[in-house]
Amino acid sequence: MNVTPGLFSRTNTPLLFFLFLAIALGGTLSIAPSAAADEAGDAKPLLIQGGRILTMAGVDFERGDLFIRKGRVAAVAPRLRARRGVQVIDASGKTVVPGFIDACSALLREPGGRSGSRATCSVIDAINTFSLQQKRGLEAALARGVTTVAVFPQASSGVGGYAAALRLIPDAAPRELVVEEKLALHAAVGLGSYGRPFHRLGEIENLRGALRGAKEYEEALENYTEELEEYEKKLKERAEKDDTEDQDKETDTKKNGNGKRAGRTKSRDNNNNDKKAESATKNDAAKDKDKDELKKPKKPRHDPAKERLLEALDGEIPLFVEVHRAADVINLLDIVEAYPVKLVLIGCTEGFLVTSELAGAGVKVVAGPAFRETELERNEFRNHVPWFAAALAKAEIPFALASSGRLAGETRHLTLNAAQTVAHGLTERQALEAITIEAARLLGLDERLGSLEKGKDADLVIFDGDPLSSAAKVEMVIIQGRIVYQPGA
Amino acid sequence: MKRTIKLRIFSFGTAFFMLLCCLATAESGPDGSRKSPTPVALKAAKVWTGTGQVHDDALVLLRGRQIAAVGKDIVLPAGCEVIDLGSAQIAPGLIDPFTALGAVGQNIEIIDPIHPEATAEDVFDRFHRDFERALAAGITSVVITPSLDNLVGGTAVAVKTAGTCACSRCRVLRRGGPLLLTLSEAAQKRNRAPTSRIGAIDLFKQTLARARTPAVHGETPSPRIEALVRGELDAYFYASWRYNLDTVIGLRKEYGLKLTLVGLSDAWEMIDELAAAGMPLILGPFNALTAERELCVPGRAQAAGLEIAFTSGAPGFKPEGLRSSAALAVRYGLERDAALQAMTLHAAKMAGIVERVGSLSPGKDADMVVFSGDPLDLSSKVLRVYVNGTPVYAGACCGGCCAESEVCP
Amino acid sequence: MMNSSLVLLICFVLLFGFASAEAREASDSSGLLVVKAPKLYIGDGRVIENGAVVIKDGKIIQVGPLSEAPQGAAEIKCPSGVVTPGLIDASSTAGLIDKYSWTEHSSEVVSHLNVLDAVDMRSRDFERLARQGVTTVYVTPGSGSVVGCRGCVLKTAGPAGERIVVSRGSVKATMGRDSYRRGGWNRGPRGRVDFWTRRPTTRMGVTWIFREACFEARKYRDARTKPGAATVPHDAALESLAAVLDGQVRLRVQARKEHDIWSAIRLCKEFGVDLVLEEGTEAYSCVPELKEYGVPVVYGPVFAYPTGFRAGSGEANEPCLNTAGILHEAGLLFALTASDLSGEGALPHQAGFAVRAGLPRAAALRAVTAAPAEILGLSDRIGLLEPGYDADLVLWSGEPFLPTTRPIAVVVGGEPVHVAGITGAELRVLQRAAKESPEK
Repeated sequence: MNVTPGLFSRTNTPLLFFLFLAIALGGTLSIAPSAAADEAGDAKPLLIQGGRILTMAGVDFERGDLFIRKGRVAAVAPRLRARRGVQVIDASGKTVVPGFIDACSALLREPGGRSGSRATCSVIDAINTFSLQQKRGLEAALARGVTTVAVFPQASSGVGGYAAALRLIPDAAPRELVVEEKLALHAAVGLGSYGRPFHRLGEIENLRGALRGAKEYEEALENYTEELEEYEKKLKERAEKDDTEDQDKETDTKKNGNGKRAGRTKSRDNNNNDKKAESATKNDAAKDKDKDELKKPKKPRHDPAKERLLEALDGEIPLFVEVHRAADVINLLDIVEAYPVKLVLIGCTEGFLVTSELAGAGVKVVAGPAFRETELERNEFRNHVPWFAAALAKAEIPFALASSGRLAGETRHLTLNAAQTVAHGLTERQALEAITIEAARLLGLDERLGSLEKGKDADLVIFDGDPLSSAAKVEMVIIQGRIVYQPGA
Repeated sequence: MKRTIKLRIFSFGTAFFMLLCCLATAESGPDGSRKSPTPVALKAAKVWTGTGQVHDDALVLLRGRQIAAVGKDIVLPAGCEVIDLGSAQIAPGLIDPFTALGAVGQNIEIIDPIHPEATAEDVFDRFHRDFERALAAGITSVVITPSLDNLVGGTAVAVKTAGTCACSRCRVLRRGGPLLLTLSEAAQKRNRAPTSRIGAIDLFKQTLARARTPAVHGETPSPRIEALVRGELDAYFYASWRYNLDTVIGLRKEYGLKLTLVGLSDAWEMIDELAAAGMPLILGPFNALTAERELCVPGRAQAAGLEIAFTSGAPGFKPEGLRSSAALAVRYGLERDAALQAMTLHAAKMAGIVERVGSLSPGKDADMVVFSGDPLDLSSKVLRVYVNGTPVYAGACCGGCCAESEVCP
Repeated sequence: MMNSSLVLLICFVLLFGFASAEAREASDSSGLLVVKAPKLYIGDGRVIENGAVVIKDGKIIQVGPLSEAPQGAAEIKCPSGVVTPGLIDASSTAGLIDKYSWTEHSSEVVSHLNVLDAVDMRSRDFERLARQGVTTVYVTPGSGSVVGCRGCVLKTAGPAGERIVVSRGSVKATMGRDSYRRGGWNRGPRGRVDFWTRRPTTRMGVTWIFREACFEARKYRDARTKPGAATVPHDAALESLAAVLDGQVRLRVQARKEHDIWSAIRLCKEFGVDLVLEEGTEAYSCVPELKEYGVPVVYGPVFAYPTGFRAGSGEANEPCLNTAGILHEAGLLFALTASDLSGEGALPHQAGFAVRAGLPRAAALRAVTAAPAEILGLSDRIGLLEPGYDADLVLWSGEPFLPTTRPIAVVVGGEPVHVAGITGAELRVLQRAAKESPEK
């Protein structure tokens, strides 16, 4: 009698178990990707509709749509169709601009003493997003449309360490903000001097010496490598030569019956074995010396500061130098002429006096703030003119507009600074570019930031009104496709 | 006899000649220039009158040194010269009600903490470069005050930053007021009374009490303090911290003084009390270092019904700070109309010169600024400044970098 | 089983109700506030068990057993608490704007000025003091002048218009180095020529200035009461001092060292002036003199090693921890003060330190309530829980002045200014305490 086992009988349990497992797994597998997508931090795709889009990439749309997916700009066009699952933001009547970049900010950097930074330091170690003061500063800057800042270590003279570029994401740990950790090296000329000419001499000499020292270090390293190769080659030759000699000597030993070791000289005094042996040892030593004269080359002591400087000297990362007086600018250009340094000047208050030299040297400038009320009595800023940016624009020197890098509170007023330059010669477009795409280019981040183009990070600001107007209101700030600031929400 | 007649003819002729000269000079206005017979009208894309009215595509008609009419459809007299400023915007000349222009180091006199007879007019130096710089920022009238080193520092003087005459007197808009009173650490010295706040408040109370009832203590009070206590002389009171502000409000209540408050660092804590007291406020200067709670004060004060004005802190700070303080205030909540009024009409009221300047109204002096755009936008620049109907400033040289500058070679 | 759990539930609910220190709104708006506690320390030694204090319009209207308390009023209660009068600090530096605003250096005799002008009424110091149980303070002038300005008495909280109890209080004089320490050797700080260069430079000079001032005041007073007074120019400082000589205004003298205390007593004897001794670090060695002349002492803080400006003065290097105990045994009127200390050195803790050093507990309570009230001349308004007195009281979580006790509720001028919330831990402690004596 065949008893057909029921579906849920004991015999079928393994089958049922595996079936259940398969269903469960299948279910989880189908859920997993989207969950993983959420956990990976990709926000929902966004479509910003109907706004006036200033892409800073050459094309503007009076009425355009911008589609963001996986934290990047996927498309910008006059009209895009909204798909299912996409969050639509109505920007009609508003202006959409790329998030502003402050190319020299003091935001988030813990206040500390001057000239504390050495070349081996990294400013990322001084970034604090947890203190109340820094949080407030970040939120205030974000609320005015600044989405990225470049922070430099505070070296008042000499060469400081790595600068960093950070996104202004609220309530995040410092590591989450990093756009680029090894952005540039930083140096400063003239700010330590407080108007004392001899001190300035010393500073320039320091910088020159530092670069020269790094170059010498590089040469020493290269020499060492060559010498090492040669040494090893010679060692090899000697070794081969010695091998053949040894074979000869062994036969000699066998002839002489002398148990003395190899390295015997062909001494004429065969009677006095001891003497022979002594002189033999001496001559052995001499021959050993010969061999040792082929000394192993000494490796230059490892100098991490110089290694860092070499990165800048060889043009791997840019060197940002804060300098204000025209004479210092000329000196600086002389110093770096010999090296393939990618030089960017910060501040450059008297740049308008030396535009031809700057243009000739092909340097770029991060022009300091138009507001300088709090610093005017210092020697460096005595010749500050309100049309400093227009002069650079006229001479076709690539420049960005930034804060001074000394006061964290300046970053939030970046647009006001830009607006002031418009009053003194720049066009509105030039001013806006100077705080978006030009700033990104100077920082070497223009592949990811600075304009609203396909493939770049989706960092943008939606304004109600003209961004440079004092009555402009920020409606929304988006960083990497996520809404990070939305007043009234 | 002949000689006498010759002498008489000679003297008579000389006298007649001198009379002619006097008449000739009398024809011109006190500023030395001849009264322009041709009326001039300025046409601009926007005219901000300073009273809250804004006219689009309007005209400002000048007659001599004064404004004759403002508006879109005004009747231009025959032979009127119309200057078309294109897309520019005209606003009243800006007024900075609390400065020390041209007087830094000269206005400190600390012999006596109560020094009401001093006057800042004695240190008004019209040749000083500070006035040029203020003019370039669009400021046409300023009040020069004594320093803050005395409890009662003396009277301020209101002057124009430019003029077309060859004397200082005609630049003065108001002399003998307002009086400057200070309650701050600056007035407390080491080698002169008062050395502490206790001493300062006691001196204030004594001075005011003595002025009210002089006979009791047998002393002759200062006429200026008497006028202050009677409410006839207005005063600026410089007070920063909340306890100082509390004291000032108390003194005002007790003595019924006409006060304008300056300083006001702690005003953010005390808007309600200040609103209840109803005194006008002079705020600023604001810059990148100013805390946000202070930047919100102009907006909150205006919403509470207080009159506000801005100061640039010149010459310690740049005179451009007047407009940038206003722009920052607008950013943090002040209405744009109120911001412009604060820089013009309200400032004139607080300085006591509102009959002459402060708005583009018929009969007032033709002090105007031509901006390339909205006066409250920092991207607008000062194209031209008119004082007494004459253009006295024609834009800054920017090294040949900007197209519209009329000044660069 | 169900029955017992029901009982347990009811007990829990009741305990919760009683254990919380709430101030519930009255169902009728009679404007009454009732503070109930197992113990009321009246302040003069009397203790009322299971009592209630009834407050109306900022005054205490009734103090008595719970049974006599009116029903339906807003109440604050604690099942293990103790109510005492609000503490009074008779020599505080609360609210003073900064140390350099205290002292007017333009003259050594500034008895016409008021320290109230240097007090910031919005200072956070007052809130802090109120939370610690201190309801009234005497703000004492700085010690930089030989004859300094006049103190004031303030409430630390309460209705704004009633914060100032006395605006021009006693004149303060200083014996000792404080008035010339900063400009010693007849040279101003940093070598500048200023008022300090003409200060007295020794104690001899200090006592001389005091005597001279009193002498001039006496002369002034006599001249003003004679005919021809109108020709005498008004001198506000001497006017105040004349009032002191007449006994209308009190005199406080700060003196730390023994010989300074003797000088103070001697000088006041000469002019027939009553004085109150402030600081009195070495008062323990002057007891017979203090007793003979009947000098109340405002002593504090209790310390073995001086801190703050006391350390800098160089005069406080021989303290005695049990000074309060010694003064008490001698039968002197004295008050404890926290001076410039707060937090862990606040007035309730000072009382605790004094008790630890030897002062009896009841005397400690009196030293921070009724005694300072008497010294300030306000013993008919504050310092006791009696009908007619200001409604300033503190509800402690247990025996006051113990380190394990804190204020649960503080009432100033009839307004509760601090009522602690109940946390889980507090509830458990209160439940446990309630279980031990369930009828409370």
